[in-house]
Amino acid sequence: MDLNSVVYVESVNSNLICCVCQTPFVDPVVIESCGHTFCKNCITQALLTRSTCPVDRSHISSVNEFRPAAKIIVNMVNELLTYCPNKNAGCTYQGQRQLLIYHLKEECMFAKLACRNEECGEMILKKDLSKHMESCKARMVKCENCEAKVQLSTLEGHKFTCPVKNIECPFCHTTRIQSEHTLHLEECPEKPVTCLHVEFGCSWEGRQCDLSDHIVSCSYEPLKGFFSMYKQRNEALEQENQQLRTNIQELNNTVDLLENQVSAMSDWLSNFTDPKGLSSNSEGQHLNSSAHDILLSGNDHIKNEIENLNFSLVDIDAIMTENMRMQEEIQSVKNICHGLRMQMHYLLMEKRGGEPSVGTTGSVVRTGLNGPIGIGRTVPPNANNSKSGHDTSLESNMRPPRSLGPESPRQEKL
Amino acid sequence: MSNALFTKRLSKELVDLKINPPVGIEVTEADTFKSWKLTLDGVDGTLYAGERFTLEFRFSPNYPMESPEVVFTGNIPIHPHIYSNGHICLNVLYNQWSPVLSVRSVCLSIQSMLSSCTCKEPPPDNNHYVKTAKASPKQTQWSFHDDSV
Ligand SMILES: [Zn+2]
Ligand SMILES: [Zn+2]
Ligand SMILES: [Zn+2]
Ligand SMILES: [Zn+2]
Ligand SMILES: [Zn+2]
Ligand SMILES: [Zn+2]
Ligand SMILES: [Zn+2]
Repeated sequence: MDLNSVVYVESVNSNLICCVCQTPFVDPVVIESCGHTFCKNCITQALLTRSTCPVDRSHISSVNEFRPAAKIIVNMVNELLTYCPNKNAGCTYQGQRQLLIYHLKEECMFAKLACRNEECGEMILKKDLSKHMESCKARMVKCENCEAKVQLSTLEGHKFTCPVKNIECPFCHTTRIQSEHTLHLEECPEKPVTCLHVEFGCSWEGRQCDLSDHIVSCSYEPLKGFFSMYKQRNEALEQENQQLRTNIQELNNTVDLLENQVSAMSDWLSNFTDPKGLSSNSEGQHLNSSAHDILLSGNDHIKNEIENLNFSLVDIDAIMTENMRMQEEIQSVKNICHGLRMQMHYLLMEKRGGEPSVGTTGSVVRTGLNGPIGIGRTVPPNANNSKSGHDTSLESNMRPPRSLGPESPRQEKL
Repeated sequence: MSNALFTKRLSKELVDLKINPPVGIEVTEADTFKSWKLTLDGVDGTLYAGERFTLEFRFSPNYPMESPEVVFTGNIPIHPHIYSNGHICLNVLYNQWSPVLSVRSVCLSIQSMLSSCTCKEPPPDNNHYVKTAKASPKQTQWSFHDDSV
């Protein structure tokens, strides 16, 4: 450590300053002849250039001409308060200059030390060193097989050459290190193998060392060109087949989708044909509620119509009843008319002189008495017209009432 | 060690010159430890009053055991011990150098040399010297007869 670069806590008495380096004396020595004091190193260097005292230029013949400075001077500079040179790195130490070397070597946590692993080469603050050693990329680790200490970075490589980690071949029972094992397995003569044409049907099995002999005699060997061509075609067909399967699957999916759509459609349509569907098939209702509304309003309209028709029916019933009564009335009027004709016939017979036939006379008279006035008015024209045709005229008089049956009573009323 | 002393001493000197500059002397250029430039003002009441000169210091790694190379540049003062190429005839810069001397003490010596001048004239052998001198004044064989000026 260079005490010339030390930083002092307080300003230093100028008597303790070397006039060559202009810092407090380090290892002060006194020139015997003139009594001037310098750092030992400063005066030694100065004398290499010029053999005079730097202060008074008096001649100095050799290095033997100086002696250590007085003890009190040495103590004064040694006891000067200094900062730790690692102050900038974070060390807060202040202490006597003479203790600085001890502090740096033993105490200072901010001293930079080289990592103990030579390959690492990093400079680490002392406080971080133990942490670094645990993770240093160049730290030594033990091989768990041979116990040898190897650098971490070479451990993987060591595993392949580790003398202890021998592997026994399961076929020929020879042993070798791991790096050679894989290669050996490829060419181990005892390894059981199948014929190269096993996929085409050769069932030969045997040791690897016998394989070449078998190939010479293998009946599949001459056909291998054909087999490989056949195999290629087969592979192409399989690939195509696979593609077709995929296509079919896609088509099936499409069909399923369409079927679902059709059944949904028919469900909806059933709302219009099946009246129960209105209440039971909520999906149909949901599907076309506006159509449903139209149907309901139509239904209401029809109901109203039916009701109106019922009222009309009642009216018709009343009319029919009246009609019946009219018919009865007409019938009774006919009977009266018949009675009157019989009565008139009787009277005509009696007027010509002939005895009227007995039998129904009594009853005819009685009925004739019921309506003499009305008949009297109509009879005289008929009686005056002619004698010969009275039968036909009577009959012609009787016909209209039959055909006009239902209407004539009304005409009479009006 | 000598290199450490060299940079250590020069940085100490530079700090000292900046913090506590001598009257009429100022560091204008000190980017490296190879060469510095300082201005030197003529002292009032002397022949050089109101004039400003520039001194260039060149240091070897053996400084302060070896003297620095010191010359005037630009405006060269007219002085019996200063040649028109800037070389200065001053013994402390050559054989009388001592490691206890410094940039500050050299500047002060030159300042006092100017101040004590009574007649502004070039050295009598100026023309001959300027023609024959090498670039560095330290390569000149100086003979110092006239120590009184
Ligand atoms: Zn001395
Ligand atoms: Zn010293
Ligand atoms: Zn420290
Ligand atoms: Zn490390
Ligand atoms: Zn191992
Ligand atoms: Zn094997
Ligand atoms: Zn075979």
